[in-house]
Amino acid sequence: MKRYNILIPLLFLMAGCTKYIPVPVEDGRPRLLIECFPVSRTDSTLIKVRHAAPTNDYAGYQDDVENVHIEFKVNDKSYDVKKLRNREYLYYVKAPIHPGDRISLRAVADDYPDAVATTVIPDEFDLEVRTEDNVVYGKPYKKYIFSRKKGAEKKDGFYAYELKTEETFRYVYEDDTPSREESHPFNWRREDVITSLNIFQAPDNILGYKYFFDHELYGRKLVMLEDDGSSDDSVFSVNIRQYRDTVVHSSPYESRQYEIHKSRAYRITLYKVDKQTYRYINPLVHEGMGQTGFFSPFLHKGNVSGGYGVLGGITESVEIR
Amino acid sequence: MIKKKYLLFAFSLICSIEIHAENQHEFYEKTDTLTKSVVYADKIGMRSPGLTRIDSKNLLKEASFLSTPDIIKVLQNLPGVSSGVELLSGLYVHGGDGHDNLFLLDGVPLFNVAHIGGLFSSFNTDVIDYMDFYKAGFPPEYGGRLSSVVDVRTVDGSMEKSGGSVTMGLIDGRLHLHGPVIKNKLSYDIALRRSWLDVILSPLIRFSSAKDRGNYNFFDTNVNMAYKISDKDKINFRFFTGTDWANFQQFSKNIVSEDNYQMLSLKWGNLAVSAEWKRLLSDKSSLNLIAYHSIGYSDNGLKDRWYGSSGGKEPYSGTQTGIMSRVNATGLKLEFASSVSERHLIKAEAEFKNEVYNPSKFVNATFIDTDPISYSIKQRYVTNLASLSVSDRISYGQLKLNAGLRADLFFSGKTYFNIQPRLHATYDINEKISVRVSYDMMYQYSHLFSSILLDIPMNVWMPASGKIQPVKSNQIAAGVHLRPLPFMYFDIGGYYKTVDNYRMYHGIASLVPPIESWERSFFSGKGKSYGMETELGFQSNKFRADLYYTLSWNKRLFPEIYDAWFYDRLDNRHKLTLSCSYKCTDNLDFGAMWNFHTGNRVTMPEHIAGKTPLYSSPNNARMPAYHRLDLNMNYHKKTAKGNEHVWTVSIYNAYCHMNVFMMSFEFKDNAILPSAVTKGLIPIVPSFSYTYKFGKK
Repeated sequence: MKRYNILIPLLFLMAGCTKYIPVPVEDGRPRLLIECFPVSRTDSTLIKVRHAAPTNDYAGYQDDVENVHIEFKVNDKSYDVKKLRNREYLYYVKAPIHPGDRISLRAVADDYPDAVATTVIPDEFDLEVRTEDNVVYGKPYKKYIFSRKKGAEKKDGFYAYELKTEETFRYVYEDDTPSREESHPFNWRREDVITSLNIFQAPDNILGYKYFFDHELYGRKLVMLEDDGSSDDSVFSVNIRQYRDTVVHSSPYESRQYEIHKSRAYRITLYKVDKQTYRYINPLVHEGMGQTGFFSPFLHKGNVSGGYGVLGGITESVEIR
Repeated sequence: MIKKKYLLFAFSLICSIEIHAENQHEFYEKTDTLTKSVVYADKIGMRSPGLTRIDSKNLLKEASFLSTPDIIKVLQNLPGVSSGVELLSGLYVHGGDGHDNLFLLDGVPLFNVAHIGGLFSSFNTDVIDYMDFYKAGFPPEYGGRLSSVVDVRTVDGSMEKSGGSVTMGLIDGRLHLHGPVIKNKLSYDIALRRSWLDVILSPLIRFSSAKDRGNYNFFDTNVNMAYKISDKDKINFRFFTGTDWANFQQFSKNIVSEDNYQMLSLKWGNLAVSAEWKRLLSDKSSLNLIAYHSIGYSDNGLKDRWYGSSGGKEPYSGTQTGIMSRVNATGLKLEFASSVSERHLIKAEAEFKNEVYNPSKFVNATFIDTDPISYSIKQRYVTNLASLSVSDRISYGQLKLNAGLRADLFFSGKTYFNIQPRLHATYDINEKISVRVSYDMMYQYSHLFSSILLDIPMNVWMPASGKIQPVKSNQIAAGVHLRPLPFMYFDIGGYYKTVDNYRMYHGIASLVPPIESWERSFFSGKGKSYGMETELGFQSNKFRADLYYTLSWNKRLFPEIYDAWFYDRLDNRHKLTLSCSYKCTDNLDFGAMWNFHTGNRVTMPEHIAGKTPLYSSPNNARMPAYHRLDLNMNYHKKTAKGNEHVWTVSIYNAYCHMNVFMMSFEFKDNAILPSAVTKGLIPIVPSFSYTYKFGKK
């Protein structure tokens, strides 16, 4: 009992009191959430138009918005927007997109404020790449260094890359049977890829390691990067672990003896993105710092007036194998 | 002749110079006005706008949390000051960010003044003589911070007779001793304060888990040696240290029964030494020379060890992380004051300050399947600040004008030269009414680099640099002071303040900020705040009542996160403090204080799409309003020998209103509606303390 005598005053002091209350924001009208990322070299663009319910009027929420009229213009020329069959809130438009095109989008629906946004598709990817063989903690890596063609201290926008990996299994027969191959795409392992910038925007973790997030964008896993005009002309680099061809299976006791050789291939697809895409997908203030009042305020900074979301422009450029 | 003396006294008080320490105390009593927090007005009616003086007697009359009086908590009640988060000693003055207050202890700047994350400050009330608090109308000798000046002056030990006091509170104890070493020549004043939270916490943590260990305590020391060389010369040597120390060790098992050991150790505080020579040059002029060295430090470490499920003695993996910060400030300050005529009081001050910032961080990690990591960063920044300030206090009939100029030359990789004009004017319309106006420009050359908006040991002070510019503020304040009756006063004022180069952290949400990339972890923005402040006071022989009300707006502009001005998290629109005390007998007095302010702001989603919260603007929602009633009672009993027993009983949050400490957004999968989750921490907290005072000054 004596032990409780010590405990009770402290529990009394530190006892937390939790209450659930309505979110203290003004009741407003519903709005439209738009997410659209036109990509150059494509002629089909996906548009998401979703219902954004006022926080305190969420009951009976449905994603889809009825009777939405969407205007999609490329260089002031209108294109017909259609709804994807059997899919909620997804629309598509067939329009050729090129670097430098000016895109505008307007979504109109009953009981919603009009949602309007414009963007310009970025120019072509303007960095040059060189490679170096590299060793990190005794393991072989290949380093892809992306540098400004304009030279040092010319800050030049926002970039993204997408890494795709593929494992190839090659069958080698002793009796000279023609070999066959099987290819399997797979997700790259985070520890096999090291991304770095000269001047660093991405946060570091408690160990002091700098890390980048990859963002899912309509099937593309993009790592977003910002050129910050460093004095060195290189903008960013990607180190990729190199695996040698290995024999993963052999069959000495079978009638037709063979070995299976495994190799890995990497493809890097490079993009140039506009600022609102970068900020929307990769906000500088991390979401985890959000709402408690003890951290800087967090916002997804889009460019849709009258609603939420983003109309971002992306230029898909070159692919490095 | 008498008039001249008063003029000099007035000037010395306003400029916080102790010319005659002995006489000054007497003078304060003469000029002490009707309230506990004295709005200073001297005999010639020269009033420094924005100055609040609080002396030790009135400080101890306040109700205090856990019966431990605290000057910062007293200041939080004043108009124009936001208190931030409940119980934490935040001081957010006229829309400030809490890192922009100049804390001086006998003229020496301090860096870390908070104990227990801000629960208490490092200022031991036993040794405080008085405290000057400026939120506008800054005299030119103050600089280096934007929003306020907290100038704490400590007492000298008695030159004639020994004395002291012993205080036992719920979580801390204090010992104060003073007296002559050589009668009428050399005196000492020593004060010690130690918490005994470790006595409570350690068994409690062991009780919760037999293997766990935990400890926390804080310790303050003030030493003041005063040597009276002659009637005109006095030397003081002062030493101050305030230290917090915490250590927590935890043993646990994960889901595969692997043993895990974690240890968190934190140590932070401030150490200051100074020597001060005061010389009265003549009836009209005085000189004051201070040399000081002040260190703000924090050492924090985290160990994490994994031992495997077989109970091995050697860990197979683990990490050790540390973040340390140290700021050394060494300065020399020369103050000169002279009453050149009946109408002019000239004050000049020259100061040179060298600051060395040493933030560092290390990581040692071993993992089971990858190579070990060893990573350390040590940085060192040296800055030099040379300041010169001159002011002339002009008295011309009913008009009093204090015109001053401060020039700063700051070196930190890049050189900044900043001239800061200060102008304060008071006009006495008649004996009962005076009006005032002031203009201040201020510069701040250091920033608190913190990933969290709380006062924690991992926060790191960093200097302005080539990339991070000094913060600058401009403030205009004006007001009217009325004394319609001898026992009551009314004061109303307004202010408008703008700030350039405000900083907002945008890095990772870790308690360990990335010191290697600190210059790139800030957004740069602007701030503006404005409001109205009102004070009403009444005092009779036995009863005293005060009312403080503030109506204010506090805004920020950071284009990187939002294109328009948005409200700051401490945009407390209304703030009201009502306090009263009643002296029943010579031995017994009661006090009560009620605080109210509109809630702090947080960022909440205004819309939701699917399960995705959508935010339209920062700090768009308000927490519920804050209100709290504190009660206190003091019982004094004097012994035949003249010693005194004081029993104090305080009740914090008397009607147990669970004020919201934090609020977050929550949307559970099975919930129909999203909601805001509020957490209140502090219920009613009764407490007591006992003080025994012996000897006399």
